[in-house]
Amino acid sequence: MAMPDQPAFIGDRRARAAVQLLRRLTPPELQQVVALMPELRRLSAETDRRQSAADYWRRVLNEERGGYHPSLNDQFLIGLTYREYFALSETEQDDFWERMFAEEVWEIEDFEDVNVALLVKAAFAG
Amino acid sequence: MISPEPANILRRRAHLPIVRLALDTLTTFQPTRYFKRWARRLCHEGFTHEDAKVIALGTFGVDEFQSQFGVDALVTGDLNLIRNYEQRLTSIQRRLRAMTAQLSEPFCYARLPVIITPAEAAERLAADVISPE
Repeated sequence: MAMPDQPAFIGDRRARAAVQLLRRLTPPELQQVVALMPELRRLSAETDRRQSAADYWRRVLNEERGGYHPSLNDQFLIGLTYREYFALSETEQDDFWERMFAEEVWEIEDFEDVNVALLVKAAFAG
Repeated sequence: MISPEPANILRRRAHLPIVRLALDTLTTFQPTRYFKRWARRLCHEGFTHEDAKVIALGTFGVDEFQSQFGVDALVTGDLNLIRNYEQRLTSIQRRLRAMTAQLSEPFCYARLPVIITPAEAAERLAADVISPE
């Protein structure tokens, strides 16, 4: 199983000891370990999926920016840069979002219904 | 999907690439005929106006192309909403069934969505197990 390149992942003493032990095993023995612990395969697949999703959105955003490499000094929202936003405490970040969403608060009665005649015909006409 | 309120907030900031990406990716859901009635009933069940609007939109909302009625799941970081929803689920399921039994198509098919955290949504999507109630 491929191990992620994250120091924090192997920072734990027990994990590091397990990795040292696993590295002594032959490929067939490693395959046996994975067969005996199917959760290892699932964990690996899950990590791959999360990574590929993150890579996808990073690539799409990069295309949207026209190849421009973003900086922490770029504008984020409500007049703050990314750097200023990340410097906020958790409470301040909550306030930040509250302030932004307070820009649009509709009462239930303010919503306008859409006519779904087309939906009715398209979806339920057989 | 997103509701019309955050969609408006995002549209005012469409000059930012990350916002444009969100707007291109998300569909704005619009309320249909019984949205208001259901939202008011959810308020009576103890949900805040904000939460009632979102749940009602997920139940009686439709996408811009009228290709999807209601949603399978609402994703939120609001753990109070999730807890409140789980506690009242049986009661609101009963109320919705009583309401939809009187309605014509497509409204009689309205179903409650599940309400989950982003992490849970990612897991369910990976396992392809998001489904309505």
